[in-house]
Amino acid sequence: MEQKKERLIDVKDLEVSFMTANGEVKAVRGIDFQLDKGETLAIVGESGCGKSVTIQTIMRLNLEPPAVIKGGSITYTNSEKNIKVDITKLNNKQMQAYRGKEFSMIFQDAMTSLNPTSKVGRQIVEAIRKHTALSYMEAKKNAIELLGKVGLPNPEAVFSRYPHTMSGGQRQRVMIALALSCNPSILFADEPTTALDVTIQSQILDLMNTIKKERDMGIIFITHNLGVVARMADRVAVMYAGQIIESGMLREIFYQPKHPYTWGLLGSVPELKKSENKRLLSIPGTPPDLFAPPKGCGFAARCPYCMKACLDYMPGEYSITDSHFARCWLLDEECSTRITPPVGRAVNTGDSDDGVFKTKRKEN
Amino acid sequence: MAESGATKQEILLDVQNVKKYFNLGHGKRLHAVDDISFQIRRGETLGLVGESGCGKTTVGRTLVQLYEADGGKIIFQGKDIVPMTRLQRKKEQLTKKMQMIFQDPYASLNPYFTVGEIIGEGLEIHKIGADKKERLEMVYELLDRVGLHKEHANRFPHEFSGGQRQRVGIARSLALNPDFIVCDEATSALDVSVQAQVINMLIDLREKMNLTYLVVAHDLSVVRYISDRVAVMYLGQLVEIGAVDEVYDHPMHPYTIGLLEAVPVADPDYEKDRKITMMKGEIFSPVNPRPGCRFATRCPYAAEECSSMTPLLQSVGGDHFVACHHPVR
Ligand SMILES: Nc1ncnc2c1ncn2[C@@H]1O[C@H](COP(=O)(O)OP(=O)(O)OP(=O)(O)O)[C@@H](O)[C@H]1O
Ligand SMILES: Nc1ncnc2c1ncn2[C@@H]1O[C@H](COP(=O)(O)OP(=O)(O)OP(=O)(O)O)[C@@H](O)[C@H]1O
Ligand code: SF4
Ligand SMILES: [Mg+2]
Ligand SMILES: [Mg+2]
Repeated sequence: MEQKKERLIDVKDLEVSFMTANGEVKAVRGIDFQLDKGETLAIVGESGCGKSVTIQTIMRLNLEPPAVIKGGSITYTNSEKNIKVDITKLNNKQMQAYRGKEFSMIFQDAMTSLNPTSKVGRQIVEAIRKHTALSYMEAKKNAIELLGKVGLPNPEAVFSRYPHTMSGGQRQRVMIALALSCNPSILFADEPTTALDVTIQSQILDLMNTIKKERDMGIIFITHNLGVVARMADRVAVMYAGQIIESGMLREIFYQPKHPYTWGLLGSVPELKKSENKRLLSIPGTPPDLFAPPKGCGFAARCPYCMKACLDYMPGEYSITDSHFARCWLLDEECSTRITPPVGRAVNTGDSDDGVFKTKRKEN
Repeated sequence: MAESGATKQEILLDVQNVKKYFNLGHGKRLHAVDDISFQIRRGETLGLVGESGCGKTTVGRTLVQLYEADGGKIIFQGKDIVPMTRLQRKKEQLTKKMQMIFQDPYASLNPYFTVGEIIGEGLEIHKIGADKKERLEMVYELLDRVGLHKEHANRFPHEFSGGQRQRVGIARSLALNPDFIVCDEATSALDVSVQAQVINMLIDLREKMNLTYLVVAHDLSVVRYISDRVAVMYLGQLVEIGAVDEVYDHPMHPYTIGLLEAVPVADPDYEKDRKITMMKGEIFSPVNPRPGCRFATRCPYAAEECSSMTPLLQSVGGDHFVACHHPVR
């Protein structure tokens, strides 16, 4: 399927827990995914499903207890620099060499990564000089170039401004400039546009796409917004209760989704293009408690198609294509139940239009 | 509801030239809402959209009298409420009839009260129901209305999920049997699947209780889904208003067009093929604004008169109004 694209990240069976006073929170429960050069992977899923913890673990930002990597590996490869390393084996000091230089991160709130008491230009210069041997003047030249590159008008003037004197969209651009300053091979973005207006969001997304193409960078993008996913992603991972329950290429997830949670997710987004008086699909109930995750399918308690096996046994990964898999017992060849996916938006079956998601499963 | 013979055509709320300014000191005045007029018919939902800071929340708060208008009329059920004193408003039962639901379901619920107390508070203040027992029955009924259970009455807000807390907030605003509800970003803090539950519920309640909504939201898809008509605001003024399908399918104000184009659509093939023209330029300051169209600094169609003459809302056919010297056809 994917032709000779270079693999950047290979995550295998990763498990992360938080050891809290009330017990162990199993935040990430055995996930696998890959990211190639020049590719954007979007991670979607309900609040609390483990999206942020996943990328924080790759950046090793939640290194200290209570977070514990219980198992699995994260292999990072950069053939140009001859790097091949299992991130989970690095200590905090070793990790310093990767953070900012190989991996960088942008957040929903730019102020999490900007220092409010320091001029923006200075912050970028410091970041550049930390990882390179450039002189101050050279670093300053690079910084101004970067500020221009992310679309800030009059970059020389922006160089000596403080973050709080700028608008939300401008700060987001500064943060992106900072994140790009050391030419990382992977950019992690945790809801980078959620706090912005759609017009500004559109500019920032466009900027990220342009930079990705120019630098052949990998991007891992967390968002709640399925419109943003459709605009940005090459590949999508849908998480639920600490697991990736479905993953595939963008069109596979939107047009041939296989997991009931993905159906519910796609069906619950109202459409911009036409107003239909169809009820939105919704998923009743709440996700399971990660202190004591269910032994069977994590979605079973909310799934309209839940069968007996679902409650007792965890479904494995069923491959639909080389690039598409889902974890659901409905895909087992011994499962007699045949479900027509309810028509969400783009789900392409074209029959049923009455919020079938809530009806009992069909037997045949 | 109480009003008999109410038809869809009855105008519940007639907003005429309403202004709300904030004094920033040093002679600076921020024109948060600057001469806005629109009407809402009974049983109708009007959506209100526009960029952050354009004045949507201020409009909502002014309508429910959390802010005093600095000019204009707000005619509710035939009476102008702007000049009324607090006592008169109380006599007209305006605090009962007009309610507001807020974005943050957590911050707006008192953490030391049980859900039952929160919902029942208004009933008690307005002395609705004969005694405690009857009020409790009413609370149970309200919980049922919003899809919660009787048992939830004894729990505290922190024991609930975001979607459930938003339901509690809605139950509280329904307790006094209002006619008009402002929903200010009522679903934007929720996950999409939970958002869908709350939206479906708001629609059901509207039908069952003959409610009229003003829905303020960033999310243009949500607004299209829930509204009959939509109003688009830009820096304190209305730039376009009309039936929701009309405005979304044939937007005529350059700002509305830019706004709709910017929304990412959850359909990969559509996204791949579309061309997006980015809105550029500096945003006009709402502090002591000069005359002219406030969008002129970013507008691709701006001409001479745009920066000197303020465009007025004018019909471009039927119920569709646009404030632009050069509406895009
Ligand atoms: N420091 C911590 N201590 C204990 N539990 C934690 C901690 N950080 C996260 N968790 C738990 O881990 C789980 C996953 O959290 P995570 O932040 O990854 O969710 P998310 O998918 O990013 O959600 P959101 O969309 O709300 O940002 C949650 O159940 C959360 O409560
Ligand atoms: N109490 C206040 N004092 C001074 N200025 C205010 C006050 N409330 C709002 N403003 C200003 O009035 C303008 C309109 O604010 P408002 O909250 O109505 O915008 P909004 O459209 O609701 O924005 P958002 O989408 O971000 O919620 C903004 O410029 C805001 O800074
Ligand atoms: S495994 Fe069973 S419970 Fe889980 S999603 Fe599939 S059908 Fe539903
Ligand atoms: Mg998160
Ligand atoms: Mg607001």
